[in-house]
Amino acid sequence: MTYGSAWAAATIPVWVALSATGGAHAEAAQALQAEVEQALPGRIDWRVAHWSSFTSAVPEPQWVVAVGTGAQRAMQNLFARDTTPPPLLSILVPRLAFERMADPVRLRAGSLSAVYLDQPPWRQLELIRLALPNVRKVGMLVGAESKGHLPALEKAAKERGLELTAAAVEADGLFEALQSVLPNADVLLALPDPAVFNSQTAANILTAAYRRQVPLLGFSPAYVKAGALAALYSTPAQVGVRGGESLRLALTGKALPAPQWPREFVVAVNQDVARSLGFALDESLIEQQLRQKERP
Amino acid sequence: MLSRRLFAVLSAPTLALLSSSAGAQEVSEKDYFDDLPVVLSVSRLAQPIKEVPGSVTVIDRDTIRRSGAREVAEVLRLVPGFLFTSRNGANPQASYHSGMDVFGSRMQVYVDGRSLYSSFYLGDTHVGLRGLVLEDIERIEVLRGSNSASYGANAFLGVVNIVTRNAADSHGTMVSATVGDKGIEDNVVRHGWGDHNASFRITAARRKDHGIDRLYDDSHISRLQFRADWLPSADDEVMLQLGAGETARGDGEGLAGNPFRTIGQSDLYFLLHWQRQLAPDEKLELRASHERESFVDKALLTGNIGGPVSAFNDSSGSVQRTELSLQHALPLSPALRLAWGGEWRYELLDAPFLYFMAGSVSLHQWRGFATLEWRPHEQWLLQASGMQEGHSYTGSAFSPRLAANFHLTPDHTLRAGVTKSQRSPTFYELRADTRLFNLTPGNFIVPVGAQIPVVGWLYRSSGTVKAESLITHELGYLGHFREANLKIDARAFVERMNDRITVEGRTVQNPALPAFPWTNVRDFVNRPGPHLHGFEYQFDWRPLPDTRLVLAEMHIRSKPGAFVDEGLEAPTRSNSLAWFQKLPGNFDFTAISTASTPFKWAAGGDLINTPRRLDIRLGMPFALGATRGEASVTVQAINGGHQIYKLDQRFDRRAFATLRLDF
Repeated sequence: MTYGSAWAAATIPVWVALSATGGAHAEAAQALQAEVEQALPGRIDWRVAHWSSFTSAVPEPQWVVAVGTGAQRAMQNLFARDTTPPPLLSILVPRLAFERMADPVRLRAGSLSAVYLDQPPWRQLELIRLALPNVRKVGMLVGAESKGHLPALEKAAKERGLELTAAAVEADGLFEALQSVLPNADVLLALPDPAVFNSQTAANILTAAYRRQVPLLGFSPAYVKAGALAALYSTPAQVGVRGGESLRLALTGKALPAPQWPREFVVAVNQDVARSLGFALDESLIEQQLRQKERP
Repeated sequence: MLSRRLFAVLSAPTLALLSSSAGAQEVSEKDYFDDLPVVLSVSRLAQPIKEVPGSVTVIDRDTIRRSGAREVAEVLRLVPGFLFTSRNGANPQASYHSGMDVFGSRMQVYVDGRSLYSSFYLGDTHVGLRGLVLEDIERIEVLRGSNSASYGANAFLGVVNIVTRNAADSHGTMVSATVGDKGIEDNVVRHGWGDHNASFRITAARRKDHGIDRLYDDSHISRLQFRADWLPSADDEVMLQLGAGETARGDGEGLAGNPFRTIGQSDLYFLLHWQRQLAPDEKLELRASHERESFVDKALLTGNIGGPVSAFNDSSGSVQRTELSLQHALPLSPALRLAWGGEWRYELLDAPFLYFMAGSVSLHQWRGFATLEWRPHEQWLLQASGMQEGHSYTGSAFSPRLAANFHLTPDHTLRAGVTKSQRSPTFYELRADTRLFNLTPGNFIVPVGAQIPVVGWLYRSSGTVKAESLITHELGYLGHFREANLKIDARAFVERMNDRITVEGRTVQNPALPAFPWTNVRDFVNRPGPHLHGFEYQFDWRPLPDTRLVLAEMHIRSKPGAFVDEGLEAPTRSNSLAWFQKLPGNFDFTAISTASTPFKWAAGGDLINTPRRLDIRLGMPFALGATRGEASVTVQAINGGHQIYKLDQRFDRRAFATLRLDF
């Protein structure tokens, strides 16, 4: 046994399974590692790889972090037969995807948690209130998938005096849905749902909304670039940091926190679109006000 | 790569992944990180109103619907400075600042970039405006002022840009029926369909009414329109429109020289527009259009010159118009933008009895224009534009424009501008030759087929008339008080019109019968025009979320040029107040009041103090399953009737109800 491996034995083995080896997933993983390393320098024996490289459940790690939907599914499956699987922290997953996959038994037992990628409903509606104080009617296009967000959004809207109008996009009924929702909306709130918002439909939705002078609020920087008035999102690094905080707490003996929303976020504004629609928005100011609302 | 994929496929978790996500489209982080094409690039975004080098009023679809208007001209009453009249019930017309023309020949109207300006007779936009189907209009943008530098000749007193709905925004079927007093009977049927790449719409509409009481002015308008919007690539947009229509309008006063008759008009048009985005802030537009319009207007005039004489005054004929235009907008540097382009237009006209010739008359027009937009500082926007135009008959002319916008703050903008615009003479003003020939046998002075002496030569243009010009100086303010939900748009102006084209009666000797020279043979001549100065403003205020008040008012003085009457062609004050209210129970209530001080319209109008006209509308939107609809009742002039155009013409109270279904 070498000196190095002896030291390694004293460390905590943590797997970080990535859904993809580069891009957002890697960025989130790095932020998570950095966050943990800062508190517990050198204490972790990281094994960071694409989920497909983790072919065997042995030697079992102490903790598993899954970055992204694919990795979460793979890690759950890998330890499916294990009666005492290592705790799994899933980060960078949309809430609906997480909830669909999550094993309720493990969830209840506290050995499975998540830091979501999406934004909490109250934050989305609070943004509307801050950035667009005259808006009362919030329109949404929902598919089978994003319908799941409605109850929480309805509740958050009611608390803020906003009115939600959702049009269901049936198969090939995008234009009909737009025609029914746009006349009754002061703003269109985009909810991730590949059946509704995808690279093919984004152009149709953005142009139709723009022609009616209805601004769109997106959920990713790509939407702001494409022509949404603004977007609210958390960067992979912000999600990773939040994940790192959870893991750090768990490593120091505390329980794994319940699934949570990312705490940090970004408000991005497309100033060309804002100018054209007659809005004056200061993204850093809105971001700051929104943060103050949450953490006064 | 291959081995890795093979491995991945063979591993158990992947199989699970494939089986669960194959059918349904489930959300994953991919939705957040996927890139999207830039859709609303700078070149696709409309210029915000505060950066437009002039005063613009925009009326959107909801406002049009809630106004209760059946005509575009009625909608224009909401625009500051616009005056409304009806020469008779079949000729409603709105005009900017002055009642100097009742045919809209000094206003330019574009529908999706296609000009409605008909050069057939005296030049007009009012027939074309009547043919528009309000239900297909997305919005109306009115440039208050003149701007030949950007829009060419005839963008003289007001430019009305009508944008019809994109076919992608009107999928499904819509039917609408209106019935009411005064024979009001309107129907619209529309069907739209398409997919992500292409959308289509076909609209059939007709509009009927008996016009104003005691006048022969029934009108019946029918239209069939098709629009296709196609996105061949992410950078290209193609729009095609085809349309055909027919109108029948009652006219005449029942006089020997102006008998009752029905004027028929029919038209066909085609419009192709292609727009390509060359870069996010650079675009190229090509437009081609062709249209044919024909008129039937035959009046049997009677008189007595040593016995009965009669003649057909036949103003029938047809005109064809072909237009090709190109426009290129690009940035020259971060602070400098250029838009330049050109247009070619060809018109061919046949109207044997208006021009006393068997053949056709044709003309070519071409234009080249450029607009330079310079932003030396974020608060300043300076624009210089110019248009050089050539005309087969009147030669070439240059229309320049200079404007500066200064943003005091992002929400408060001051504007100043100076521009020279022009109106080209129409075919008729250049080439009119309208004579009357006796049709009654047995008259000993005038044989059948001979030109009737005295009143037998109505128009004879000497062809010397030149374009009218208008020099405008303006100051504007645009303010947005966000806390109060108030928008203010004000414009002060001095408009000096020169070379106004007017008619002048001449006496022409009659060699065959020297005792009966032709009198009052009208020619077109240029005279000094009126100088108008004044100010106008609009307050658009939403004091409560469900309440919107729009006040538009104009104060104007007209200093006559050649005629004393020119001083009376503009009211010293005119205004409109619109109140849009959402009522409990989802009802839409609207009240629109318009009024002006006394003024008279040209071409035979009387000095009339237009009393306040109050229109109200109550609409109830509803949904029955997937079918949406609206039932509404409108009462125009609910406060009684009022004189319109002439002292003995009354626009009486009229009510109508509309049911509209979308499914």
